[in-house]
Amino acid sequence: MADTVMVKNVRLVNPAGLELPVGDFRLNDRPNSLEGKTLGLLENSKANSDKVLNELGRMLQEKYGLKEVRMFNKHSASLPTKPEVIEDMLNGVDVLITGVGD
Amino acid sequence: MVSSDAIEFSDTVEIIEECYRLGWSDGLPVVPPVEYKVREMLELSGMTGEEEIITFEMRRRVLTAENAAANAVMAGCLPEYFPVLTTALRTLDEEKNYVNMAASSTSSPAILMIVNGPIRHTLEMNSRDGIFGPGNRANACLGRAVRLCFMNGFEARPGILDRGTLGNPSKYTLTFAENEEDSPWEPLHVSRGFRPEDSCVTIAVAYSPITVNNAYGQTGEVILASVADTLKSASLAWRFPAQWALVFGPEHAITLGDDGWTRRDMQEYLIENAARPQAELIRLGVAQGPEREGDDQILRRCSREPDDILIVMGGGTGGRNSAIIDTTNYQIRTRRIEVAGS
Repeated sequence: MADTVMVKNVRLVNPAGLELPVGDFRLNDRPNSLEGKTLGLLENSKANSDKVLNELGRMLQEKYGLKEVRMFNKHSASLPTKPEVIEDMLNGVDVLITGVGD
Repeated sequence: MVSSDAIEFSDTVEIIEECYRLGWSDGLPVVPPVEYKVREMLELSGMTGEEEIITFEMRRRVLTAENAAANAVMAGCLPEYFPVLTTALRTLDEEKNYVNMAASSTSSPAILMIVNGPIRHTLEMNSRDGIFGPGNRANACLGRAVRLCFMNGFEARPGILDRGTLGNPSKYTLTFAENEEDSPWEPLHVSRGFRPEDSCVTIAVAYSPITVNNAYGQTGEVILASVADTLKSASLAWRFPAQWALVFGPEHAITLGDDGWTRRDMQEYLIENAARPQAELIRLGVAQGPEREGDDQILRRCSREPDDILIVMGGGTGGRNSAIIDTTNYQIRTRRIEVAGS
């Protein structure tokens, strides 16, 4: 069954890919305060991304009284994060910032 | 001068304009993907249209054969081209890094496709004068179809998913056939383990060809020396060690062949001579410093293995030109093209 678009009485086949189903998920409530929380930073493994994010983590920890800043690694800048790393982040941090360094 | 009353309204032209408005274009006009043209494309390959060809999880999109055929029609492909496109897309599905790089990287790479075997003749592909284009329908439209699949299928549009700093004209197409008949070396696909009678496509993430115009070198070694010198320039050597596709024009190929250079000899010569000290690359700012003691003794070579350098013969007679294509570090793949009924 063709996915089509009508244009001036002519039926065109849609070249856009089909949407993949999205699994069930819900967003956590945003914390009211970062004090005492664990922050995760996901770095994309490009040169110096760890340096940028380490410094960012240090600044955030100092400014907001974070308990801990944990760094996670994406293993490849051009591939999605591995499921086990996502699992670690899910279980190990209260707040996560994905970072990109290049 | 045509008088205005001689111009008739054309639905087809208006539909092309509508395709622009729908955002379905790479900037050039597209052939409207009308149902019967898409069906023709699928039927010749014996496909129903529902087959999933490539999935791109990061955009939560899957491209079916029908989507791919619509993009192929839009690019100007004939139905006979479709097996090359589906082979390429299925290979890209195995190599998600290719898709992510060629869809989105700031460095703006394209997808390179080199076609070998009998299908070159069936599709009347160009392996001779002006091999990189423009002018040949299959060369132009097959590469364009891949990019339209990225743009329409995965939203790999500039500034959205495609974050290429400068873009790349090769993203319109970087597809050609090898001139196997006149080459002093065995065809590319045979050198990569396939039979001469197989039709194959070799796929890589690649940047634009860089021409090495060596008009006066009278020996194969001088030609190779100029290729090595270009390879070790700052713009290419930062990637060492990597893979390279070298397209030798006929006049260079004849000189190299007459001087007895085999493919393996050439690959080994380039690994030996296209090398640069790490310290120089740091001083040029194309490798990360700071410079450490001994960096001037560390030689970075163009490739680790001879087979990381693809050698292809193509282009027109007249002019002593060859080209270097940076094919990155993502493993180059050669795949047999399955043609329905063959």
